[in-house]
Amino acid sequence: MAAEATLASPVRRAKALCRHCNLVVPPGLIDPARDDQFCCHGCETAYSIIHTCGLERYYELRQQLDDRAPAPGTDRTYNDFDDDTFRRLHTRQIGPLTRCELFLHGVHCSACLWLIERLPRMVKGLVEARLDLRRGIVDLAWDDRVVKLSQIARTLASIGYPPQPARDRKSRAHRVAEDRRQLTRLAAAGAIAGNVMLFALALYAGIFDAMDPSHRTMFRWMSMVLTVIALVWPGAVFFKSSWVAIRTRTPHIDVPIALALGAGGLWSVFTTIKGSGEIYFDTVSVLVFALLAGRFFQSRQQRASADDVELLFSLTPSSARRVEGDATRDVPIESLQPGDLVQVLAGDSLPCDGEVDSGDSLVDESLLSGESRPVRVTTGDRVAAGTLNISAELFVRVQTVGESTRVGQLMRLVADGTQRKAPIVRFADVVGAWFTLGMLALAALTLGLWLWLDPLHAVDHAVALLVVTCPCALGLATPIVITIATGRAARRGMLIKGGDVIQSLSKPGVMILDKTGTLTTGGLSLVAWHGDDSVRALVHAVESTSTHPVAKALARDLTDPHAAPVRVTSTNQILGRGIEAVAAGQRVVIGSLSFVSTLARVTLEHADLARRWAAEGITPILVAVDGVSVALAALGDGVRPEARATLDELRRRGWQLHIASGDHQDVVTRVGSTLGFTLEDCLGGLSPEAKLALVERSKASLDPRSGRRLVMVGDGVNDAAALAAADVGIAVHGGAEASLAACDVYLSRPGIGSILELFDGCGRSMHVIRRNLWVSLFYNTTAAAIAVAGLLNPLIAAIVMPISSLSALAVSLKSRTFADHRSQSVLDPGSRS
Amino acid sequence: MTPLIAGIFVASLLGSLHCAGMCGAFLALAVTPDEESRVGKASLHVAYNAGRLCSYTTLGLVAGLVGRSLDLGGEMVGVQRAAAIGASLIMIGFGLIAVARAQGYSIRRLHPPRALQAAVQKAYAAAGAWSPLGRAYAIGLLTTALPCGWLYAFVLTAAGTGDPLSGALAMAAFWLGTLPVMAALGVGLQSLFGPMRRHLPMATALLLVIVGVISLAGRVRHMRESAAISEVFCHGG
Repeated sequence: MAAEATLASPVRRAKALCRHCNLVVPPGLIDPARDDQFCCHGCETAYSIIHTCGLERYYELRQQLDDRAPAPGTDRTYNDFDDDTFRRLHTRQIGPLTRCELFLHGVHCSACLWLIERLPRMVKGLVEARLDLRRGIVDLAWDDRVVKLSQIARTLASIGYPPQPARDRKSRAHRVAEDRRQLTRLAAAGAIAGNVMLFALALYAGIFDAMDPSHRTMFRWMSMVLTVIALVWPGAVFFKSSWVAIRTRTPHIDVPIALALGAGGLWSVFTTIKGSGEIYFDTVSVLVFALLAGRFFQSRQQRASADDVELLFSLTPSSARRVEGDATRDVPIESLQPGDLVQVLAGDSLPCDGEVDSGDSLVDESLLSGESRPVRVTTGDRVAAGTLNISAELFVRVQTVGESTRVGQLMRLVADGTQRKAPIVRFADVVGAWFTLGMLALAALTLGLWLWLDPLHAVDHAVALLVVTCPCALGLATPIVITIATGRAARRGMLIKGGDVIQSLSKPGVMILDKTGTLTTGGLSLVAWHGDDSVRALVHAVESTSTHPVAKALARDLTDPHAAPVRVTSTNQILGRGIEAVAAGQRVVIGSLSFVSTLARVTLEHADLARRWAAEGITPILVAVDGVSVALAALGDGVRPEARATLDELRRRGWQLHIASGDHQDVVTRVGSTLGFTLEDCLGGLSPEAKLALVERSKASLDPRSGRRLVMVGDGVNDAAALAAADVGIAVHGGAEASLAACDVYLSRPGIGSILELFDGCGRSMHVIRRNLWVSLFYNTTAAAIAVAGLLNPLIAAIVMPISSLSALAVSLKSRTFADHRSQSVLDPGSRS
Repeated sequence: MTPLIAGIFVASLLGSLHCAGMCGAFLALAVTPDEESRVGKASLHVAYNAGRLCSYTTLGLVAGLVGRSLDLGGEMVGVQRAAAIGASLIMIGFGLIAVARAQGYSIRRLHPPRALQAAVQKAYAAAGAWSPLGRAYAIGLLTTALPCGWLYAFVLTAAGTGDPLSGALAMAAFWLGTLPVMAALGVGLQSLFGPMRRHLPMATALLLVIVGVISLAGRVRHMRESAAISEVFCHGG
């Protein structure tokens, strides 16, 4: 098998990567004559097979994993990160290094993790970059003498993760500490359970092969010591919480759990000291561990959603361009003072409330007001923080910054709403209350029965009953069902923040829907066309030359791939009025009624229609060709394609639907009527405060015992307070990510299309929870019957308890709550990973 | 025997990044469930790797048989352990050529027959039409049909054992070494190994030499021992 060798002196060649496996090709195998290099025959063959099978997409996928395509870089300088105020607020000095935590946008997989943690090799002076993938927060440590934070931030932005300061460091440090405490408790409980199980195994084995009595006593004492530790340290949470439940007379699942643990533990201690009788240390310690584990996963899940509050900060920018003399400088908004002058470029959010000092532009205030049309502002007009400057540069005189701005006040309302929300009594807790009563009654019965039959073993049997009826399947399986359901829902793009939501959404109730961005697309689009169709291509060509939002919407919606291209020779645009151009040799004027009528003759019919449309809340745009009006286009906020079908299905299921919008009443009525709402169900012109009041009024009118809940669906900041006040607030994608903070469910897909899927999943999850209840009830009644009959010994308890929990667990894991997320197929060229 | 099996396992484990690069695409094809099927990813992984195991051990068995017949033939002309020594030497030779290539010396490759390549392509295309589980298993089986130098170096070692069972065992050890990387593939593992990749050609080349040396040393010791035993017998008798 001798290869034909042509030994030449080693040549330094350019590095090459194998086309197939992406590993380095040995320099001796590089063939300069070929485009594709391979490291071996295997790879060459594999490459040709992949090609003949039509699977080239594999390389594309792998490429995405290997080097995540750099996202379009921003031109932000991040110079404000070097500002003294910023440094004081967000960084700390540890020895020669400076540390800072930054929240990164767009972090979502282990490839991001790998890329970001490799950053120290790309940026000189950066010593460490640790990413918490779940929270999207990177912890940086760097040498300030070598590199500035702004430079690190620019690098992060250039690879597609624009950073912003993580502001609530203190509250998070607290949460991290709490997490750590929980984990320590869990680990301790696990270690104890494992050891006690070993002793128990030895003891059970000793039943059969006559064990030395001194060994037996030693094992019993050792398991006692360990179990007592488990009960007073990790297990103490159950006793504390049931004590609170008893004092406040609120039913809680922890009460029967604590009862079982306490009875089993105490009685076993007693029998151990006495030297004879049954012990339940193994069952008790395993219960403590299993229950703590269930609880830990549940709280982790909820924590993950709570952290999304970070997104709130994406609402207002973290920096501003302050005008200082002739130049502008990036400064953090914390250092802005009333009276400062800031420059706001087109496309930026406003950093503060203030007055326009100079400039003329359109501002999108839909976040605050729900108004779908951009508002024109000019010198002297008031503008609000968080709104978006659309078309031209503005200079704004700062009046208020931070919490005292309009958006800041709205956020305070949101926070209040979250606290005011009535606690929904949890399903398992209610069942747990009945459980406790039943158990106690049965235990009393057993005690009485056996005091009469065999007084020596009466307490033994009663304790056995209490231990074996511990509702751990309920205490464990319910959180697991909820955790799995929320996890699966999250992968389907539905972020559910708490278990109570699942219960609330499993039955139909009353739903209040926001209009802008929820039922409609939230942007301008062509909603009507009247007149000559042949000029559509002409309008498209002319409007394509402009960047004005109206022009952009027209150009987008009039695109016709089959139309022949039209040549536009000269254009003249008048801001806020219209455009005049020569296209295909014809003079074309497009714009508002007043603008077009000064330059061309407008027919009576067109003028009438334009006025009627304007009255209905849609924007009429006239088109005149060669001096005569020929067509009329209407721009408005288009209804989402899936809205009608979804709403009809909701009505069929028994939901009562209303629209509440900040937009003009006429607009709301028009949209409502196309979606099947009656006139009185369409409420327009509502301020955020009025929406809040509406939600509270509707909520109060519902009977809490009927199981009917008030659901608010919205997207903008103007909905945030109402979202927080509703029984369940559902925020939809597209508007302010800030409403995330206020809502209970966040749908990452635009529109209300996924609401049905959400409700179906919640219904199925509740079904599984109920089924778990029946499973555990079955086990518990069987075991209770055995215990009452006096036949239960610790061995049977140790076998039955885990089986009951495990079967409930298995049922939960296998059941379909939300559709399981299938991995994306390599074979399917249409799907994107 | 044990040092050789251990050596194969360690070499395979360290060099398995190559397998990940080369077979990653096929693995992805094998473990992609159909839209409507209810087969889980885990079972597909199991089927694929089971296919590989069957294919490897069969190859090892056959190689062992060939080695055995070489040994028998060698003994007839008075050469002891012909297969083992031959295989070890070829293996070391392979390794040295690979080291030279990694150093930049140009040594031409032997081309596998075109017909084989075409047959393998057809087989893959056919497997693509099967049910997910069958497809995963078949793609696993077909792994050995790729002309992979790394794999065949170990098949050579298996032949060197001169015993079908040991040959199968040697290939099973090789399979076990590739298992961690192949099982973990699909989570962007390629990226995680980033810095290691640069030195892979040299590393695998050296590993080949080492396994060859272990194999040769084992044989030589074995020969000495059997020589010693026969001496005892001669003198004792």
